[in-house]
Amino acid sequence: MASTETLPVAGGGLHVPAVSAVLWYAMNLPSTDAPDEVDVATETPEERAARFERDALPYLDQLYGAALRMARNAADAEDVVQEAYAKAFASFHQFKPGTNLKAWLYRILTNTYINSYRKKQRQPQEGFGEDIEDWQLAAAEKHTSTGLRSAEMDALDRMPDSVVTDAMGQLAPDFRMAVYLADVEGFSYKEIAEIMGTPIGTVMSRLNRGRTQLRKLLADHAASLGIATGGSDA
Amino acid sequence: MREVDCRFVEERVHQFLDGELTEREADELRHHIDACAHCLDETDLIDALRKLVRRACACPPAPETLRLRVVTQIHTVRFTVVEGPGTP
Repeated sequence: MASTETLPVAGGGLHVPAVSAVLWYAMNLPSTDAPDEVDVATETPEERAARFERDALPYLDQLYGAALRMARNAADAEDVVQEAYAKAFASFHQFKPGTNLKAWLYRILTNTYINSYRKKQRQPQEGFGEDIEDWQLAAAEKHTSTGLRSAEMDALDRMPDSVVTDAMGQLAPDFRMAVYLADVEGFSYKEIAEIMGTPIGTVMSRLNRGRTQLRKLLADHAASLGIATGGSDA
Repeated sequence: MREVDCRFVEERVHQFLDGELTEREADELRHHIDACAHCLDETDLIDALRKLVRRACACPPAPETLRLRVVTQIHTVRFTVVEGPGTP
């Protein structure tokens, strides 16, 4: 059990602007009039466990959703979430109440996933395969000449969810996470940078390339079904 | 306001849609996009893609068994802490 380990997260706590914390409370804690004043230093283990259950457990569904998109299968997703919660609980005394708990939990989840992913790969994954499929970017550029876009838009509108999630699964993990965190969770670039432990420039590049690859994959899928998108190499 | 070209928009369209540009830069982009069919189409498409991902990735709730595992784990750890030596 990871209960006594120090959290393997670089850089310590998240530094999130007060606005985000306020917004977060406003959006996610409808029943909270004001954040409880918690004295982390003097709280008993029972109090801490109760506070963790009250504050962190409500994110279970969201974290599971993210893990499902990262790990791509339910069993791995459950393991990653359980391990992330264990680490989060073990480090909960280091979390500053009133700051961005959601981003903090996502950061732990992301690190847990990356560690488990790297362990499984059993070899260094330099850059996480970010260099793959750059030809796709060039190809996607080529495909978007004027006149073909309305067809592509129609195809996107009709795209089944399962096709989109399959395409997400084909992205490199770092790209997939950046797209997920931005598009599904609505995190700011700054928050994503903190969650993923990268500079904001890297977030932008991953997001840009991830979305571009996704677009290409969806266009290819539509083309393979004979839906005119302009995405084929005709 | 600066006059910006398609290349400038292309490089910033994701930031634009994600609300990550300054007001001033966003205005510059908007000014160009409003007058450029190419950039308008591109922007609309990328925005549609963002919304599609959001819609498609809406997840089922976590299984009850997972919730149970997590809660059990918290309490197991808690009892370990409680039964351990007191804090100095």
